[in-house]
Amino acid sequence: MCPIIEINNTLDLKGALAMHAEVGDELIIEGHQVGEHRRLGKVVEVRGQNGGPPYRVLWDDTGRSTLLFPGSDCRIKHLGATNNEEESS
Amino acid sequence: MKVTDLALREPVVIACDATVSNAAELMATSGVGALIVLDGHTPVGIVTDRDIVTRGVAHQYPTDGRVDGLMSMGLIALDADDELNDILHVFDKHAVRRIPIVSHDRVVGVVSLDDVLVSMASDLSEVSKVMAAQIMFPHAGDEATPPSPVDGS
Repeated sequence: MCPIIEINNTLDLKGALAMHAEVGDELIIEGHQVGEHRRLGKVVEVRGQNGGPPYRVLWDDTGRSTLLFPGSDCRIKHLGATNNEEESS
Repeated sequence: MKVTDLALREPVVIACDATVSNAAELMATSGVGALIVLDGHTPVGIVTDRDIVTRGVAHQYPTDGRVDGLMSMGLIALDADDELNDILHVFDKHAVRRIPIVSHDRVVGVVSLDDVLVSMASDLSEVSKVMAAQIMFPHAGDEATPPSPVDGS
């Protein structure tokens, strides 16, 4: 097994948080080009502090989960929110 | 096999307001082809040498322009405890070429498809040896009995 080596520039993820999510929130990433489809997912785990990223997201199109550091193209629809109450990063 | 069984590449980072020229220099000095882009301390995207060429140079994007103008937004990542099979799935389904690996609250490495191939090459070598041995020295009884001639008349 490969040891996890302490690396000088290992990222500390406890920095400023640009987005807030909770388990159960929906996540939407719009396509950037013609033919690139919108991606939908559900937040199943919040790994950052105070609702910040990374999130474990269960993707609708693959049926499997990955971690995600959302970019500015990502919107979060909070559980129980209306369409007008989405949060962008 | 776990993700951490692979030889992880050291993550190299750049601020989102750095210039494209800064990014190219950092890639050259660090010997990497991809940089994780940070907004403050938070990863927000990844920029590769290919991005600089195809999104930058090819479209006359200024070399003193911000690097986040060329980056791929957002990062699909995996946990260090995830399985190697999960990596292959992400490469297949998410159209990414590099995957950051997260352990607890830190990005501890970056894995490319090349890294996976190199890691599996030793296994493939073992498989090919077994296959070659079976072809050259077939086990008794493995050879199919020739079909009996059929009288077609």
